[in-house]
Amino acid sequence: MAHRSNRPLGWLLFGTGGFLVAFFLPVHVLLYGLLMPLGFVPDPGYQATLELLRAPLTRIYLFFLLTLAFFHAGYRIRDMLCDMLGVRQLDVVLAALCYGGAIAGTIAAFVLLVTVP
Amino acid sequence: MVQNLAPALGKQVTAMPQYNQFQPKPYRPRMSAYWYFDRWPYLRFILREASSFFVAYFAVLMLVQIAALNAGPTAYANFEACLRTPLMLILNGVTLLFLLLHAATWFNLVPRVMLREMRGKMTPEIAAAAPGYIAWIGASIIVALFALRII
Repeated sequence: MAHRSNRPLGWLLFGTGGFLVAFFLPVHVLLYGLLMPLGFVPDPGYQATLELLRAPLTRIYLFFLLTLAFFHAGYRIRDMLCDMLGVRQLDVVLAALCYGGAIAGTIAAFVLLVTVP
Repeated sequence: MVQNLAPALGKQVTAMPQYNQFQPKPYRPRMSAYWYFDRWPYLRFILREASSFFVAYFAVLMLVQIAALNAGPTAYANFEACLRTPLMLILNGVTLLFLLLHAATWFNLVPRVMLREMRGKMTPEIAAAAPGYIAWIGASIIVALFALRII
């Protein structure tokens, strides 16, 4: 029987994650990482942000965004380290580390989003 | 290799090549450890791929933010104070640059992979890439309106 590659599954998550990250992540970095800490836009504060997080739609959005961002990054970091450092022979180890990290991130996101007070 | 080639170079190219019997050598191109600094397209490729580090970093930071929100007002105040330190501001500024690079390269790929023939003519690349950019701006505005609690 011919060897079937498991790459398409990883690529599907990579591709979907790439779109979600491109569409949604830059504005998160801009707002929470730069504009709010620098005081260029008003910070809604703890209570209002927690209320936003309590909405089920926000949590579903964050779960898909974070999970697919982790799998997107895992796929790319694995290939990048192989090419950049020229260590294709370590591919199995790097794949295990990258996808292990992505699975850990998924579990962490799920637990944190379910236990919102 | 070199000593085998030398007589052939003197004569016409009709000389038979001489092989070392039973000693096939695998082709191993020598590559510098810093090959990606050799040419601008290589560096651009590695920079684009490196955006994934910053995607992973910021996703983890968002997890920390959710954990701080779960933990209470004091924890969230500490988290926000941490984001105001110069180190975090610089890191997040670099992260934004890499994410913009990711988004731009990603949307610019759309014309390369989609079918864009109309009445036997190729539509311009910009016509295929533009919807991605427009949707990006729209999505950013909607997220910002929610994050700033305007809606």
